[in-house]
Amino acid sequence: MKSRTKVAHFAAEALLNNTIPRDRLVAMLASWLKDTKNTRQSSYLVQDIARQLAHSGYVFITITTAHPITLQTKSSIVDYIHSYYGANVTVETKEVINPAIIGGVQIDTPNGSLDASVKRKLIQIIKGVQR
Amino acid sequence: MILLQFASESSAPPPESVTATFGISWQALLFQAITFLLVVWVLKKFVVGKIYSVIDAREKAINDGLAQAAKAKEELANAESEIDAILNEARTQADVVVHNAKKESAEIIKAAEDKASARADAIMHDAEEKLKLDVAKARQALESETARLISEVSGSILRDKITAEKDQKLIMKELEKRREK
Repeated sequence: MKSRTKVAHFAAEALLNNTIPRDRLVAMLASWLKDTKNTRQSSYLVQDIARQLAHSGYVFITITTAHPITLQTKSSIVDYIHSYYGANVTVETKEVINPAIIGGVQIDTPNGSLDASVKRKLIQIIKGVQR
Repeated sequence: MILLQFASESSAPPPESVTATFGISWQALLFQAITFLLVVWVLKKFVVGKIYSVIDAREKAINDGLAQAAKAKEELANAESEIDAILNEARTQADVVVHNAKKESAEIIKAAEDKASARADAIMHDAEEKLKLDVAKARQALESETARLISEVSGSILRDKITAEKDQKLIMKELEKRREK
């Protein structure tokens, strides 16, 4: 039985080199998760694959905002990611609109999350007052 | 007168021998003596020896019996003294065993009490710790829930204030701030 890290490495290599079509790769990963009874670890497997891709120069990020962002803002976010991972990495973005964060931005990267939302700041202020 | 008459009558006996008077014959007497000695010799030779040997054997048997009885009596006395000694030793050992058993049972009871006491203390300590943890968790949950509610209320007020344009500026400002760090 292969470990999750090895499977993630295999999937990342397949995605980078396009050796296996994406839909077929997804089916293979789902089959592996089911066979090894690791379906609960699917989110961790996705994170591992994203981490492997980031290590190989392909960074997938999720941008969550309260309002749709402009191209300029998106470009600034990508620049910020380049400053963190290096200028030569390829950045793929996924935008999510969530009014619950009120304002600001939340960026999820393979190695962590940057929460600069208004909601988080409010909660920090309130908790500071409570203490 | 009478005395004189008697004296006169006893003073005139004719002299006669003793053997003749009692009718003893020397030949008959000799023959009887030889016969007696012969009988004595025969008795001694064939009868007395056997009688003595039977008597000696009986005496020896009686003496042996008495000796064995004395020996048995002595052995009985020794056995009784040994029994007394064994009984005394057994009583002493029994006393020691009972004493040790009482001591051990007391120690076991004390150890069990100590263990139970320690266990009770540990349970109490765990319960107190769990209670503290639960209180802290409840307090934290309450604080988080309060903060969430306040943020939602504030958010509903701010949501109208933060337009898409202002939000872009806010994001850009935040990114600049992060870059500077």
